[in-house]
Amino acid sequence: MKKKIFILAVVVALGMGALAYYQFQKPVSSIADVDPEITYTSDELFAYFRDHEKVASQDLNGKVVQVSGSVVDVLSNSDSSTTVVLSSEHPIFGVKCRFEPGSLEDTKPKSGQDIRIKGICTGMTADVEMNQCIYLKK
Amino acid sequence: MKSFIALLLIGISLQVSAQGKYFTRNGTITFFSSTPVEDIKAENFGVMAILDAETGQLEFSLLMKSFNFKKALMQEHFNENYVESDIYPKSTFKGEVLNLSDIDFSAPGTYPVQVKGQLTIHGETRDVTTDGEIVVSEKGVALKAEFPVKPADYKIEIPKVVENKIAQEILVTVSTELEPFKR
Repeated sequence: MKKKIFILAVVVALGMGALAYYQFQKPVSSIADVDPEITYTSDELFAYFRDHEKVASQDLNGKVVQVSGSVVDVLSNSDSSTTVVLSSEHPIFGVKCRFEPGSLEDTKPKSGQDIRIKGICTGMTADVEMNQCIYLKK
Repeated sequence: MKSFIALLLIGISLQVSAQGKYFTRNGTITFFSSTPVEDIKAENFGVMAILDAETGQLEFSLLMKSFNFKKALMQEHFNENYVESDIYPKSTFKGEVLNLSDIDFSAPGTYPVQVKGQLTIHGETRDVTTDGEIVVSEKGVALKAEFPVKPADYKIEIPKVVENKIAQEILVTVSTELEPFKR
């Protein structure tokens, strides 16, 4: 009986150790299967942050947000990821969406194109920023 | 940052020449912590930077939540426990290039520079002076610098249980390409 308890304890300890190791080593997960919590146009999202930045940050930072808008710029980043800038009422700034390397290979948006994306909102510098973005095909 | 951008926009609206101003919205800043227990690297590819080549004024702004880590738990601890990014979402640098007269923005080349300014992280502001490089090319200018940051200087508390995993001095690397600002 004592031997069985000992073996059980070892198995449980090993299991917990494996779980802890997995948790520590787990990479940042994709939001591909995560439904957006809220939807905006890029105009609306930019205006929300522009007019109520603190409230918008508390409301949206860290959340998966769906955004639709017109592409004004497509930029290549130093790690081969892509940043797509969506328009707003502002002449220069808008909603800046970063896509992981390789995630836009077949579907790279072009200036003037209307697109839908989802991503994790991270706040506002002069653009509203979205990270880990995924292009949503119509 | 907002005041600098506002001045930039006013200048443009008055049709004052925007020449001499360089800008990026997707600059790169990384930080690296090395200890015998673990190396930790995080990268931010959404850095906003503005350089006024006529005055030497230089500003950076980035979102702490836009730092990308390999491990999810590390990213979570960084945001929730160390830099408290819900309370202090941004980090900024406002400063100037001290030896601006040494740089010829019309002549491609690599120019050593010294930059001085105020760095704000976690709501705390400290004076920072660092050496770096401005690389002038036909495309624009690239800014490069490396400097150490002590989390303790910015009141970033590292729990004792993990303090052997995080260096007391973190190496920050700036590698950012700016283009001539155009509307």
